Amino acid sequence: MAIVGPSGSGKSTLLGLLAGLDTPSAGDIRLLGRSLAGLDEDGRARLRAGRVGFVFQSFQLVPGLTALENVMLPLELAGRSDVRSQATAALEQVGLADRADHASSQLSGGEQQRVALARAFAVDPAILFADEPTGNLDQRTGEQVIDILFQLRADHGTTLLLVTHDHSVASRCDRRLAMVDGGISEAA
Amino acid sequence: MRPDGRHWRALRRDLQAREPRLLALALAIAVAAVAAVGFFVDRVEQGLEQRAAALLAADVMVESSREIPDRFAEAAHDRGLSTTRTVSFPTVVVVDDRTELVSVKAVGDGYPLRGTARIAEHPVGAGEPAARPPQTETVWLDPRLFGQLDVAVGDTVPVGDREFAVGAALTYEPDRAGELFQLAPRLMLHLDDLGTTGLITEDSRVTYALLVAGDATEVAAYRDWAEAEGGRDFQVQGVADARPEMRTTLDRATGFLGLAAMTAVLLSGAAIAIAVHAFSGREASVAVLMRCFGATQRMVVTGLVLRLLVAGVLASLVGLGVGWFAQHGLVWLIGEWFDQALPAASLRPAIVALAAGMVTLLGFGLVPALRIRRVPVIHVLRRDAGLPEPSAIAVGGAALLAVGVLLYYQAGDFELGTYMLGGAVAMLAVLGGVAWLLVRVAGRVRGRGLSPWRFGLASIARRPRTSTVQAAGFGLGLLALLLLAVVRVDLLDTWEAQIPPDAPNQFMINVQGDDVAAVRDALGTAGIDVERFYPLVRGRLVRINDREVRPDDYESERTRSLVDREFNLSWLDSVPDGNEILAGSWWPADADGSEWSIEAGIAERLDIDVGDELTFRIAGEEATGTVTNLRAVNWETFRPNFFVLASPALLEQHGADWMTAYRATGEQVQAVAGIAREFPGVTVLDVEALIEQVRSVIDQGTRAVEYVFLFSLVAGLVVLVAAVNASREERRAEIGLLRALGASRGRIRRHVVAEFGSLGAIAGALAGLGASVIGWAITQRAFDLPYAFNPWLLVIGVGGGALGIALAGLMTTRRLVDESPMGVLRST
Repeated sequence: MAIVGPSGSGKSTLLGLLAGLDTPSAGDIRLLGRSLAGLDEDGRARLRAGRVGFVFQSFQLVPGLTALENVMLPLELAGRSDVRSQATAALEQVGLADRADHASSQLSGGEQQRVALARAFAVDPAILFADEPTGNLDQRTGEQVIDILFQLRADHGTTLLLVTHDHSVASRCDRRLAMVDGGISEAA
Repeated sequence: MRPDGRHWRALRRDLQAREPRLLALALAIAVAAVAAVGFFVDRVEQGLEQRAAALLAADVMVESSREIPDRFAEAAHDRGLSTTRTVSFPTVVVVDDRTELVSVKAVGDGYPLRGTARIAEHPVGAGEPAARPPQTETVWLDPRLFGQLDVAVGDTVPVGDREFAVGAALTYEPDRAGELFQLAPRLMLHLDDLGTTGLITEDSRVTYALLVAGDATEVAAYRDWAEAEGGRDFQVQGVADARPEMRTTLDRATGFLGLAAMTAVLLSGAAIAIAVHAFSGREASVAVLMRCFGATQRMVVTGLVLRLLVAGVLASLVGLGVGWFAQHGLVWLIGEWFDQALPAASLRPAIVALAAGMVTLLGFGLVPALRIRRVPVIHVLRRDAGLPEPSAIAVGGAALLAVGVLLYYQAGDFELGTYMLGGAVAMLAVLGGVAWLLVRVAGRVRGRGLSPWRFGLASIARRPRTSTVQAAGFGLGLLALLLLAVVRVDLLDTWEAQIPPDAPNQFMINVQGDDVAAVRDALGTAGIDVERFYPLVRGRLVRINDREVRPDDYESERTRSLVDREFNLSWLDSVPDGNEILAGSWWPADADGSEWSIEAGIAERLDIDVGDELTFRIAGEEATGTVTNLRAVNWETFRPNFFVLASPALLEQHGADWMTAYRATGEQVQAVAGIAREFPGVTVLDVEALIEQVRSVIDQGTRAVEYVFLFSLVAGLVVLVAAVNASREERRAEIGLLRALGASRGRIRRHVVAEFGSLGAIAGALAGLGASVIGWAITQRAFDLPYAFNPWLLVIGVGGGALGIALAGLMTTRRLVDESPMGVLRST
């Protein structure tokens, strides 16, 4: 599913609420079948662990860690075993196995976002939230990243919730919602 | 939580980042300073104990005017301790027509138990160590007596009913130094001979002593036992009581050293707080990412704290190593205070230093680190969500607690600790408060400045919190530098000036009233101008108002022995140099009343106040007068000083001996020896060696303190770097934006100079004022030395602050100015 709309319309706020990163002032949100209203901050974090993936506009790789170590991070937090080989496999899926030992600062923007994709899918999440994943990339690199994103989504059978203002990206989703001034409606 | 690979990776990442490195550096400096001083003081204390034991000739001594019962010696033997006895009393020796008052000391086998006596064939030079006390049938004489009695080694002298052969000149007696001015020349004989002299009678003023030495634990146990057993009749003296003037100087030196180390700790603490604050701000983005991926708050916080602790322990260990090496430097600088090599340091200072490191880290770093708990997870999507700031009260409270613990421990002295703590708190409060105000003012006046200044001041005002922290941090760093550069020099100069170069090195006593004019002329001929001759009569304090003074009325042993002795009384028509009237007023020059002037310390001890009436018994007659003033006396001037002075009318009629003090050098010393022969009875005491000793202690102490202050200097610089670094990330974005908007590098540099220059000037003014106040507090209140305000502090503070901080700002932002604006904007 894609959420589209102009900047300031509240897309990212909605994404944050849905992922349990923030709490609504009124109403309830159900994530993976659980009501978020009854959960505290840590409860929501535990719910996300190993089941929710994230991709951000500004990549958000941890500086000072290598590509592989960045991918290992959510696996370790989810308490998985055999973390290193799973992470290596995830990097292979995005075609960056040979860059595993590079620090994030040594990677190009496209490569950084591919590492972020590997990191997001490594835990095999039930749902993946992506916030403007191509916003910081040029068009050609952006398209490559989107191709990999949709490929991985299909392979893993993950539900994808994508915030974007790029209609060509949105058009590849099954369902599109439009946000204008905080209101929401089905988009064409 | 068990640390796993994730934590080690994070730790490795920390070691590559700027803030943790600053933190580690600051902590290592703090631990190094505490460890260096701790190791050194530990060794000095052990060395001092050994030396002080020599000055007592024993580890512990039981003293009394009555014979010491055998149970005291038996108890010592039961503990495996060795003992010997001494008996001292004054008597008169007559050889031909020469009469001398001598102080006899009869010593038993084994004397001295600690230290060594020295004897010589001729009454000159330092002599050789004596292997055993005088043999029976022989006496050892003070070198002065050889001239006064006109005897040589091998001659015989009568002592009481017996004749003794002069065995040697006694050039050094370990347990005598403290009594320099009290005693007549020494005559030492063996205890076994004492009974046959017939000198001990009912009326003799005899001091009996039992010397005890041996294993430290047993000695301590014995001392406790003896104190309980002895009661008031038998005084127990341990090594810590010996040699008060040396003790004062050393206490002052170790006080200075501790102060220097604590300055380094305080500064390091400030650097740690700033670094951890910046670090937790930077780590916030990683923390929210981890929270996104499902990490609980506890995992994030424990992870961070664990890393800080590991980094802290590593840094502390490095600091400990540095401190251990550094103490060798200290030993090299002042180790020569001690005749023999200092004993090895114990383990305790290492534990104390490590503990101090952890206290500093947690006290200053924990609260700023914990703010990471409160970073909203939504920060990962929306940067404008902002980072929560730690509560200023919590930060201050924790730091205060840490500083308090460390200060009271280090100072070991409630007053000094309180001054430092109060000073630190007031300092931080004032620095913070004034910095906040000035930052506000900077925002107001920015519209009136020229372009780079306008922008610079706007930058300061835009980040009021960071700017306040920076200004306070700069202030603290500059304060340290000012204290080190100016106040330290003033303080140490004042200390050194305690013994002026023209301090008298000889005292001439027992000059008869009729001879004063002639002796003064003779000294003048030798080129020695004597300022003043002081009359001297000895008197016992018998009444305060209508109350009889009895030693037993006083609790303190020192007070009891004070009133048990005769005071040296003098009369003067004007206030002596180096004395200051604290209460009441000095008598007019032509006064004919009966007035006393009492030294303030002794007045307090004896509970005497202005208006009280005191009666002294002087050679059988009583002299009664009213106390009209109390004086503070500077005892370190080496000039004649008196506890009790009288108005001339009160004592003039009593026959007095006269004394004077002067400085004699080179040939003058020979001339003085001639004068002493010409006027029999006149005694010359040479204190040159003692002055030299105290002076060299101060001299070397000064160097040692400067050495330790180097740590503070480095810590001060780290604070400055940490403070500049605090706004680095924000500044990076700002500079990128300005560059993108077309600002030239030169222009950006001017902005940076304007901003940091203003901050530096603000901080410098604060530091200048702070340094003056602290300098005053430390010199005047804690170390009891006079202090003069130095106006240069303010000038150097403002000028140096503006210049130095502007330079530091330029250096830290140099790379930022050169970065591509595109890269900067993208990454933020």
